[in-house]
Amino acid sequence: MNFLKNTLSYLVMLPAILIGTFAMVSNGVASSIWLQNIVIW
Amino acid sequence: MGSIYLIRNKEKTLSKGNFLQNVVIIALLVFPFLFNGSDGVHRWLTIGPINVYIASIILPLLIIQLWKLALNNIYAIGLYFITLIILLFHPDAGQLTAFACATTIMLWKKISNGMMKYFSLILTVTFVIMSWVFLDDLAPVPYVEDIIFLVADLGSVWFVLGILSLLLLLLSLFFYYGRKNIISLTLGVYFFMAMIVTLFGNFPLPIMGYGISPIIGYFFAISWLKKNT
Repeated sequence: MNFLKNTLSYLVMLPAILIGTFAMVSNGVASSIWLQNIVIW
Repeated sequence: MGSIYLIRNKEKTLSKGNFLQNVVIIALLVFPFLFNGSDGVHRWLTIGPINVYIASIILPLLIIQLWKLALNNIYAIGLYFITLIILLFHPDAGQLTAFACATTIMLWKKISNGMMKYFSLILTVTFVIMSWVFLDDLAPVPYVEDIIFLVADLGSVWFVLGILSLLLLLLSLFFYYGRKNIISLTLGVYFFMAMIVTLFGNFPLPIMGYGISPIIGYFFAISWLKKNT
């Protein structure tokens, strides 16, 4: 339960990262660029 | 997920403000001047193929440090204005404005001397105005500064979802941690202003746009709040 609570705090970043990543992918941005945001998360 | 484990160890070092930490923070903000930069702009630490946008990592940490130090008015105010000077020379009007707006709220609450309050406020406004007068000439990168427009191009549903995802980042700071908690509100204002300035200039949109540094900065802020509030 505690782990879930801890994890949820970091999940708030995920929607913005994923939507940004989707926009980059749709516009042909290189994977080496958009992958960095996901990897660092 | 691996970063959750890492920050558990980091929190211990973040929990005690001391002189050495502040020196390191200021030194990291100065380091970009040692690199060539781009068109006279010195915002990045170049580590191999990665450019680290150091202000967006350091400033949330510095806001926390200033909050700890704010009872020691002169020292905190000195540190605050040294930071504004460094950001002015980066030059980085976006980060300077976000940092100044956020920290002013905190210092206003903490500084007891009325004259010092107004002096700090006037000097802060002067720094913010100067930073916008001396803007850099760097052209925007679509997937960094204009990412929200790329999202809007996907359709109105995506645009709304994009805005909601940015609000989610702020809501946790303003409402989840921020109830009667000035440091959380201050960090919330910092990230809010970092988003708002992108409407008026070519500044990276945090978290959503390309850039690992704002993600790390937000991550530090959330981790510290989780541990200490």
